Amino acid sequence: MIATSEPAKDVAATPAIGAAPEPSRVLAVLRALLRHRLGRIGAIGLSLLLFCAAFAPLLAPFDPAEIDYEALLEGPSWHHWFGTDELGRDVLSRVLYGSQTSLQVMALAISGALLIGVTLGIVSGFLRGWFDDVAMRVVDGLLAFPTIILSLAIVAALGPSLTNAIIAIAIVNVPDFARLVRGEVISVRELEYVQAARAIGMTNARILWKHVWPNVRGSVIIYASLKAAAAIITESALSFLGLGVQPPDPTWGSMLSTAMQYSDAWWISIFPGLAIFITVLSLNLLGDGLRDVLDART
Amino acid sequence: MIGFLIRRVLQIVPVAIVMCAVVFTTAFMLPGDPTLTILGENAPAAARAALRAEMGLDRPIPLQFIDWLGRALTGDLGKSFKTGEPVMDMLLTRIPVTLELTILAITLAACIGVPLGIIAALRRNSWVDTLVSILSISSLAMPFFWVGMLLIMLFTLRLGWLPPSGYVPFFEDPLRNLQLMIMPVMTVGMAYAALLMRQTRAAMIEVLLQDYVRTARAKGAAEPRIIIRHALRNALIPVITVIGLQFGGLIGGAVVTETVFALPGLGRMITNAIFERDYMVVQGAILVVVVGVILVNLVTDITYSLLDRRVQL
Amino acid sequence: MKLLAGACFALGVAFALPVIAQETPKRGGILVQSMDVEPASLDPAFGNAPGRDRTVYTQIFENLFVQDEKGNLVPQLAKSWEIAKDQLSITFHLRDNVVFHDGTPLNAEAVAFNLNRIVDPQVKARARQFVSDMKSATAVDAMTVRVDFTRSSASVLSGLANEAGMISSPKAIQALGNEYGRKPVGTGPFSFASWTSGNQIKLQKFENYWGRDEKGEKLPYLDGVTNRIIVDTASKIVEARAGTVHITDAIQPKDYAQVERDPNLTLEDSLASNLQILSFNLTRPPFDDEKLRRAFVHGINRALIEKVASNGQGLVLKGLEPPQSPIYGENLRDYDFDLAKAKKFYQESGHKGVVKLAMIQRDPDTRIAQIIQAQMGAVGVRVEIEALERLAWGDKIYSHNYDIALHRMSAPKVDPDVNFGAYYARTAGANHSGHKDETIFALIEKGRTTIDPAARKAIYVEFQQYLLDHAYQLPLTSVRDRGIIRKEVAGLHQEFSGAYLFDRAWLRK
Repeated sequence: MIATSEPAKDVAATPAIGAAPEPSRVLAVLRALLRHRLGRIGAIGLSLLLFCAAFAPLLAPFDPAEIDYEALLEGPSWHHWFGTDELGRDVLSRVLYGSQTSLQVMALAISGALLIGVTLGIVSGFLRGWFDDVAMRVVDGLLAFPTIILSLAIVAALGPSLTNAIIAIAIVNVPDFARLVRGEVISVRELEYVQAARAIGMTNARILWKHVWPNVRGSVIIYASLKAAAAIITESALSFLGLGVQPPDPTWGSMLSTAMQYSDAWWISIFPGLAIFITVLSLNLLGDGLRDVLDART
Repeated sequence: MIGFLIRRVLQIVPVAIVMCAVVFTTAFMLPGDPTLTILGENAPAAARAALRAEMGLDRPIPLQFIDWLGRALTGDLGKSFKTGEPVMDMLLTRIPVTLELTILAITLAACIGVPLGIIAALRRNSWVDTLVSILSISSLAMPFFWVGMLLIMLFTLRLGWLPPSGYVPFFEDPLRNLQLMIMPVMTVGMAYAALLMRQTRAAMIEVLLQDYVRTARAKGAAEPRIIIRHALRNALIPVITVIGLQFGGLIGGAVVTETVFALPGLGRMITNAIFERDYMVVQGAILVVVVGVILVNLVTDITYSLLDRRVQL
Repeated sequence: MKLLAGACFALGVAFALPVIAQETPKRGGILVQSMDVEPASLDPAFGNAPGRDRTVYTQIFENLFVQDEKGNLVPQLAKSWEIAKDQLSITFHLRDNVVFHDGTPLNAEAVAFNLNRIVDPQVKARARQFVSDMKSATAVDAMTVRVDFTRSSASVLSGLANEAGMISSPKAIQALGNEYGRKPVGTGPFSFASWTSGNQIKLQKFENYWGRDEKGEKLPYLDGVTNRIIVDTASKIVEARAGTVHITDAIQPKDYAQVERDPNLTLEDSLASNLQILSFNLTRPPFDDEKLRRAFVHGINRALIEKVASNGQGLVLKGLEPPQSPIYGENLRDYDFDLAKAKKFYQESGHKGVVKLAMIQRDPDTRIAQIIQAQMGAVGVRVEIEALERLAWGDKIYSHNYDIALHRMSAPKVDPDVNFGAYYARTAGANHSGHKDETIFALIEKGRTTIDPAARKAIYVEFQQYLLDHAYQLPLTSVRDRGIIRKEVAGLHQEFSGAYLFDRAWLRK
């Protein structure tokens, strides 16, 4: 076998072989996750994010776009817990509403990447041959691009907007998923029972769904949680380089990059920064926890 | 082995050409007229049109690409639209900056990440392990530019220990060069150290459970000897793989870091060129990055196979 | 050419000495200056940011005459000149014993070579537009040059005093060809050392510089000047505070306070102001409708924009020139903020739907755009912001594919025509609003060719009032550019373009 460059080597774990997608299993995994020390913290953090995003309109004390000319750059107070920004807007409200945008970027970009990447990986790994060769050369090429440069170029070409940032982040994550899944598929397809299934005349699609996907699922979920974390970082970097989401929509990344211009007003930099930090940390912990849990079930 | 090498090197060529074509097309899809950068916004529209024609920018993109490729193969990467500086000359001054940053960052990361990973693995599930894990996972959770700005606030503005940004070539003034490099290297190196730590820890744990380690222990070999001779050597294989595979990501980190610290490296060269529609510069620099990353991946594969005889070539 | 008359007999020392020069200057040291716009070329004929580029060019190159901080023409490479009776030519007598950095002597032939090169259509010099009324230059004898003009014009004199009149070594231009822009050779106090694009331009002391101080000692005092390209304002300030940069270009008003708190720094007024302007796209609906434009000019509260965007350090802009400009119109009638009026105009316009505001993502434009969005929301107009990068923005604006757009202008320029010719004339490269108004074309042309300063001012004021009356653009705010100078820098003086001259500059420590 040729030593392939598996980008996922560091995170890919051996998943539960032949795990069936019963609800009880999902619950069992969740229970195990909540017993896992760091995984629990991650799960709580992520729930907090979901809660903030879902109830932002109820939780936020102010309209996040409401300009207050009399309260520019005021520090934290009883009135504005997180202070106000350069246009007198309430930072707490913006951080809360920002969770919606950040969650959107994360969820849409990663599901997009997942959908395309996993399909590409499964088909490539299962069919091999010329399709695999071509697909993997393209994937190699894309992997050789630093993600930030590639996403920067894509957003610059499409024009800066939330949708285009999501598209760019999705595209740059496709190769990683494709590589990961392809590697897993190649190792699974040689397993005896998959060979056996083929021998008894199961269709390719059915083999993929019944035998291959359940084996790949675990690593994909772990990987997706880590990539979701990276997506938030990429979005903030895009904002920093000047190609972020359009104002006045708040994202943590754009708030942070604006804050860089106001070194005196620490509150407009610290709070969105902490929001990013907590979210990314939670997702990483969750990914680690999932790996341990799924690993242990082997 | 030789056959494998030749095959792998030959595979680079189509990947690089395909990537260049992709970049070329993307670059020309960018809205905006490079002549605006060259002539300035005061220039009459007629002068801009004339310049576009003169530079051949109005020809079909495939033609322009073939032209470029032909010249690139002879080592001529064209000139910057904006400053007229040959792209090759620009690369020769930029590459050392990014290389210095990445090499120092890898070194820093290895010095911190690998020992911490070993300690965490040996004391698995102790408070040391938890602390190291939290530290590493935290340093991965901060955007590079935020870390960079926090470092500047601390070391330059508060403490006044380090110069904030800029670059002096190493051979011109080694001391000043290193001073200027401390914060950028920390910015990139810390995130990278976290990755290495996680990888080392995972690999060590796996190796420590292997039969040969148990055998060595049973034979009564001294613990440090077991760790170094048996465990570490095998655990380092995936660690080296990660070092190699993260090279692309490292350059990505360098893009943002170079912007924060105003380092004239490859990353900043590419981002500036994208913003200025300086197509030749984007092309040349991306070619270098892509080929560089692919070569590093190749070297990684070879190292991996040399270290791990189980992998057949 | 009354402009010239006062300066004709002013000989000797090029500039009046600054008062602080009582101390004995110390020799040595490298002065570091930061700038956010990198020159496209170091050949003054091919720069692309008139005025801004002078901050580097003046260190390397010199002109026959230059404009002092008040705009008067004072001798530099020419020690004197005479104007012909018909005002169609000037004869310059050159300073003796001036040499270029490459050792070749400055003579009449060299000057004629440079000036003819600028106007040569084959050369396509970008600076040619500033001396379009110059015909040719002829060497009368070894040290005398005659410059001929096609017609008398005021703008050509400031053209000659700036980029278009800078004298390069003919030998270097001929030897280097296209490479000359990266290896410039002039007669100035500093010679070129190195240029790393995007990073810095380093210059070193020119040992054979002709200039002498009042004690007859050789100039310059400094060993060299480093021009660092720093785009980010926050970084500029950090560098200045850390002492790694001595002089910065303009910073943001929001940062004035932290600079004033630092005992090592001073904040210096530059000669120019930064103007923020809102353009309406007149070339297509819906903004070809004056009623809709009126809804905007009355619906936007510029005083609030000023307060937020420039921290009360600026002014609401009345025309297209700031108060310190020689052609500032004190009595221009502009718009009052009146929500009821705005709503009425909006209703009359019959406009529905979204208005897109194209802007460059940078500070304070992003803040101004969001305020406009909120204020027009109160009128009942939905404004969507398109925050673009500079070139994507330029693409939309110059092809007039936008609704409304925010942009900046730096004023006053060395001559009013530098701005007005580029933005409003028939041949304008950057006609933001896309007006095709013959009255404006005629006024701009008349302004360029009128020589009497008072008559010229009247023309330009008339033009600004016309523009306001038709609501083609909404001038928003104006803020005086202020940069940082560290206290250890001494002996600086400024020319009319706003560039600091370093021939007598020195460092106290």
